[in-house]
Amino acid sequence: MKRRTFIIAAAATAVAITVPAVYYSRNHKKTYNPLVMPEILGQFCDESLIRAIGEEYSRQTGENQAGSIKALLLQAENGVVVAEKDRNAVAALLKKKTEAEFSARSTMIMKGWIITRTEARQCALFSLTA
Amino acid sequence: MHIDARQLDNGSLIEGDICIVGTGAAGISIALDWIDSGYKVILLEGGGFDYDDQVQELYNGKLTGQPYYPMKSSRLHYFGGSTMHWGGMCAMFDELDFEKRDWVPHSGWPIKLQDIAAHYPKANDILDLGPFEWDVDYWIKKDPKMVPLPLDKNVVWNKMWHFSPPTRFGTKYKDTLVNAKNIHLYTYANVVDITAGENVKNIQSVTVKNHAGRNHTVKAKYFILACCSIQTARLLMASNKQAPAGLGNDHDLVGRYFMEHPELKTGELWLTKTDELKLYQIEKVRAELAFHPHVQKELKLLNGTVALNPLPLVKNVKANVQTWNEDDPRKSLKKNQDDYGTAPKRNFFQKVMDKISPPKEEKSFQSYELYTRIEQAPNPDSRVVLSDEKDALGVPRANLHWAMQPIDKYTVRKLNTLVGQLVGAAGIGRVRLYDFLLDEKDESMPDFTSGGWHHIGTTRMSDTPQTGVVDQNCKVFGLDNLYIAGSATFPTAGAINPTFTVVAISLRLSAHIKNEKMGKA
Repeated sequence: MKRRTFIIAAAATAVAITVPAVYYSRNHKKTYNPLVMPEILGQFCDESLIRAIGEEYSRQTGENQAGSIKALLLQAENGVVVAEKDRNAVAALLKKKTEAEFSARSTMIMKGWIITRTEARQCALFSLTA
Repeated sequence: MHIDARQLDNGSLIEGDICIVGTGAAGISIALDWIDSGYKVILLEGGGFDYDDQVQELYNGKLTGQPYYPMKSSRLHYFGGSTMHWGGMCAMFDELDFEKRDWVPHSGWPIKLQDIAAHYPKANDILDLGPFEWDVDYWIKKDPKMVPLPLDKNVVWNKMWHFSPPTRFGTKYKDTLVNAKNIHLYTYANVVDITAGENVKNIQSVTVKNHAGRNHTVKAKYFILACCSIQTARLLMASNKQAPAGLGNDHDLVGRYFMEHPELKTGELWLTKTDELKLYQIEKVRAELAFHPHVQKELKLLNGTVALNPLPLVKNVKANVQTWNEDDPRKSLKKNQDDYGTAPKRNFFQKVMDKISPPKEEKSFQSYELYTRIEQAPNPDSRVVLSDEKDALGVPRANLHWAMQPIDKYTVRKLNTLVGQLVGAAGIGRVRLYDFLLDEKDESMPDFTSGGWHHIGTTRMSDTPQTGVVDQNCKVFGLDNLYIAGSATFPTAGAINPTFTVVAISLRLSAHIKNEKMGKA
């Protein structure tokens, strides 16, 4: 294979790995909902993978009620509950919780991805509601 | 001077002050150190100056255990030894590598890093490694585009590697040694037996042989075995006419603790923004992610590093153990040269990058492959044993059983998980682990686990003959004038490739004999 052809083929292979769910969500639904779409993970996983991660999480943990998962996601560490309608605040909260869990090495491996419980819950909520 | 042992009268007696068996990185580094020393040095090489398949065949043997490179082709049997096909990757051992770690059975050296540190600069010169600068900050200052990943510095650090051209010892140092008056290089002089004196307290002579049917005897005050871990163990065990289990093997340790550097593709780093990650790419130097001692202690890990290679470019590159799998090393080389080119002044890794390196504007990528290399935990059951079959010169062949342990797999899994956690905490992306790491109950390494062609252990260094074959000066316990040079003496493998340390520790051995033994004699 010629060098240029190889590069293009290799790049195509990489692209084929993922159609970012977050971008799809933002571009097509206009109303991007951070509760059901992990901000960073969603850039690398397509919707079917997000759904699969969510289903696996629900199966492993028994967290399979959308309402209770949503409540867990919206509650900050200090007990304060963020309003679901305030999407900027929700996004900020989930980002903060995710980074804190990573820093505490409180992670799990779902479909090979090293993610936090918060991210897994976002995926679970996606699988239950979207 | 050079003498072809095939041309000598049969039964010749060769005498000198020291006798070095083997002309790889260790043997040649020591020989260079003795030029113009006033002592007569006998340097023995089993092959000639070029590849000879009849000689190479002497290395053949059987493999069991973890899949490995064929015995015949995993080392080279001619002047220059395995430096004639090495890749040139060099890094320094860490202080932790020498320490006894209670979570790593059989770990601990009887010496410290500082005991060999003084020899690294000279080794750096011998291996043509460029500036003796091993701190990442030096390279970042030199090239501001080398930007470290913003990962927690309390957990991870950037370990620097240097790339030798790579130096082919058989090419670079041939004339120097052949022209040295006190260095007597004998080619086609395969050592087939070692003879001890009465009571087996010292070595009197070694017997050399070749396919021309010539047998010769070599006598010296001191003998240094510098013929690689597998061959050194084989020679000691095969020299069993005066010691039933072989010389230096009263405690059944010779051949045991064979170690490699397990290395394999382990996962993918996906970044939110494309990045060149120049610091981590293969140029004259590169960094790999390494883990602080307190982290290794806390998580009970072996030492190891994680390299970052552009995923789109390496995704389809097969494991070395799957491609360098021909008995004949020339066939493996040709197969891989066909893939990666033959530019003579580029090392193998550079050739890989030549082949796959994208145009300049495409050097930034969103995804990188995690390529992990770890020290293998010392394992007495990972070993070289003698075969019932003999080679053409009448020496029992060496068979290799490469065996790993649960901590090896655990470490690979844990290091990559840590990288994933650090990347997540930094908010720069996510890490995906490959399938073979997902089942925590699976403690086996996959068949595509490669080694670095690093043969380590088999005559380990220790404080006592009950726990090792050589002492802290690399002298075989119980034998006053027999020394072993090279990675055969390493009690643990360290996280990185051994050649740099092989040269440094060989220079230390050389200085010991020159200053402490010959001076006193």
